[in-house]
Amino acid sequence: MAGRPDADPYARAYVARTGRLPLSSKNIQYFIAKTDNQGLRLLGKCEYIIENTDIMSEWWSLAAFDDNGKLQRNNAQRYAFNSSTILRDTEGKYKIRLSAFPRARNWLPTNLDNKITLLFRLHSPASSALTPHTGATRASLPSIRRVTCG
Amino acid sequence: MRIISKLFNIWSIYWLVAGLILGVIIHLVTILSLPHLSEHKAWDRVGNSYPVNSMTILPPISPDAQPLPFMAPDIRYAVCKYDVSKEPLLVRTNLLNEMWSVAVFNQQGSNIYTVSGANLRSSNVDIKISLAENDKLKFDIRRNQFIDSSIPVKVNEAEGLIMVRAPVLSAAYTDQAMTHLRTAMCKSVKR
Repeated sequence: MAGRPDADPYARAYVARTGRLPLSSKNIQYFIAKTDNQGLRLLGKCEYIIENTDIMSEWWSLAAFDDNGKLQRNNAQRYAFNSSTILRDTEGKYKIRLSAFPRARNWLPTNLDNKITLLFRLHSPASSALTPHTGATRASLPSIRRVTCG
Repeated sequence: MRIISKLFNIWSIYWLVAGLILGVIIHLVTILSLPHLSEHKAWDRVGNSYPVNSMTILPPISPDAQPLPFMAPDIRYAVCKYDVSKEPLLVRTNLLNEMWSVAVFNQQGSNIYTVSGANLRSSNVDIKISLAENDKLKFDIRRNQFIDSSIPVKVNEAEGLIMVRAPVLSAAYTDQAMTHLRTAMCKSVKR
């Protein structure tokens, strides 16, 4: 709803304050994560595993930003994974390793000093993955598990 | 002494209620005015970076080239800063697949209109943007619907932003995506 002119005043204020240009949820759904599964703040000095199976949508994308919405600068120049670029296992599941240090397979680099904000986008969400008002169900979103920290 | 204490209690309640009402009013005024007064809007962040009524293809999104927060690094963007105070604007683009979209935003960042490749029978789309307050123009737009196939979009504010989003499915598709994205244009047209 955030991007629509008939969105509620709080959503419109949020869009204006953040400087984003979001599309309406009919086209793209946006999910922001600042905490892991345990409710702890996502930090660059920690390592996380983000895992899921593909949910019903045309295309999804996951990128790591700092709190101001800036991409996490890294030498690998890798800033996102999407449903086309992700490597899956034989069961169709995928794991993304969010870490400041190089990791095998789906490694999404972060900065040691930064707090992390993850943005998960669902393009043209399929109706089977949606609930009427809240979009994708919580269960269908990737889980974020802290592996190490320090 | 009791009378003073009673008066004090009455005044306390009075000020408490007045404070609450004032707080609610300030909160509502802040929320309602924020879209207009905020200097962090996409419109303000873009500033004079792009020419008016002309499409600009943005470089690949990276930490050094990210005009707006939370832009997707795996999407290529084209942006047109528009002003339809004098003449309507024609937006023409080619939506390569179902995920591509072209969207019209007002200065506050509200999404006034969006069309994606999934909504179209052909990949080509023409959008004609004009001011809603101009009655003559409304007539012209109705007439134009029979002359051309452009989609009429009426806006209440003369200025805003148009954004074409082109998800690049993988690096192998980059050249193809850029070839199509470069055909995107916006230009003023005669009434």
